[in-house]
Amino acid sequence: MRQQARKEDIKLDYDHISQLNKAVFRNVDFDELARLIPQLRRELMLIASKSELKLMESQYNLRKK
Amino acid sequence: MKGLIEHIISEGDLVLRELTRDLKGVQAPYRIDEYRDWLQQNNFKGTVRSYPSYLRNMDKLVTSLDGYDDDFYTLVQECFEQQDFKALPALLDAYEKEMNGWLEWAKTANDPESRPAHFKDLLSAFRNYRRFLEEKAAQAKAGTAATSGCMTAGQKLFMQEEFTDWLQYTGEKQRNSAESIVSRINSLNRHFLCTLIPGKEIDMLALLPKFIAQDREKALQLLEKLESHTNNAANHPETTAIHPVTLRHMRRAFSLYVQFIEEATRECSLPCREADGENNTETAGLPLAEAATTGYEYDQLEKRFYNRLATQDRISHSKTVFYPIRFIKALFERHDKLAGMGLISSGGGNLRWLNRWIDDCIARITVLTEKGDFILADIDWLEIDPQTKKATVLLPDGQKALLLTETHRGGDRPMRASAIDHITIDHTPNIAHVLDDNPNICPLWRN
Repeated sequence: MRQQARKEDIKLDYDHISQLNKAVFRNVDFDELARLIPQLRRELMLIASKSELKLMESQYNLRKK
Repeated sequence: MKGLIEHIISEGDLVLRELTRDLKGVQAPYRIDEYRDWLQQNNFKGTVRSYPSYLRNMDKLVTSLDGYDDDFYTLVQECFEQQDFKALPALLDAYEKEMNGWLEWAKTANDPESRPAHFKDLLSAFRNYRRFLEEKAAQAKAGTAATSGCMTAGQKLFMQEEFTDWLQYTGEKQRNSAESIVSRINSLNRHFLCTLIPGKEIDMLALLPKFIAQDREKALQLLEKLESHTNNAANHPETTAIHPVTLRHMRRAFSLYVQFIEEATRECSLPCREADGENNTETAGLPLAEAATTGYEYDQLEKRFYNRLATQDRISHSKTVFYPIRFIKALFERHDKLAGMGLISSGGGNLRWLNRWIDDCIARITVLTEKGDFILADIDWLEIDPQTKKATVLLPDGQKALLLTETHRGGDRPMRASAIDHITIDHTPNIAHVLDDNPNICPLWRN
């Protein structure tokens, strides 16, 4: 994704993420992307195991950031 | 000109073309839902069903155009997206010429299954659709999609790009109709919302960013009020000049937009401010409904939280890692689609897996209460009183308990919220830290 952002001159921020997503799907071979799926699944499981989710009042959540 | 048999042989090409369009996000026929509305509004009501169907039939016939390397609808969409209409007339001419070619062929083919009358119908549909496209191109060129003075030149909906992405990624609508939904909202704004206050023409949606920046809660109440007026109009279409079917489509589109704005402004909004009691003069003609206690069952909470977790990308130049969850969802979705069509040998089920993963995350969300810590799966009911700004939950033993929140300084205090949007889902440690701290297990997130 970083490579595509550089190649297509797309800013790497939240506002441009959908543009970046489209560029990746347009330019990168789908087989190459599909090969990432098993690892992505494993890593999502790891992220979930290492981060606790908690309900929080928005003003404190924003200040924390 | 290819014969019908050759055409049937080329069915495989059609599948490939569909897939290519899908991957590029191309709508075929372009802006078809909006075209249907246009037919309704321009007294072509008898053709609302047939013309779009004819366009699809034509699309199967016309697989390539002389002098053009790419697909017709791909090129048309590019003209509109890039706002470069120089190539459009020649492109439309080429398509019409191709259809004329089919008509001429039918006249001489003497084939009972390829009647010239059928091709004449197709050609009529295309010429009508061409008028629609030319009208839209002219409006875009003039820098205005509006016919009244309500909308300013070149105006877009507030957070339009994000909204169309949200429609696609949340699966609320197919990519193909996202643009039509935006168009319906703009149309509703021009022809209905702008005229709600008698004697004034106020562009409510153009004011939305300002309202949200000033007081998000009031802005959302205003949106709900506008939604309620739209619902009333849809239930009593005789009170407006808009066609009932069109109005129902507009209502659905606007309802999706309101839902999106609620969700999208939740995380990025300024900390909630107390209502300052000032009445905005521009909306004074639309008294807001009295706030009432709102309750949510687990399923409703799960749905709301799902949309939050499935759309919260984390991306930044300054950080070494990011978390593009919407991209992952889109990748899983496309993989499943291709697997379902037998074009990929590995199995599908990725999206189902991701949905289950998100649902599990939601079920395990920690809920702090005055009577101890629970997980969300234990909570059957969450209630918010906007007057007192207190949130309570129903515990597994049937007792009610006040919801607590951690503060940024540490320590807990009663949660203050007047709407569900004021309750966020906090990641501890946050995702960026998890990824930073685990370089070996998350190499993909660095690329």
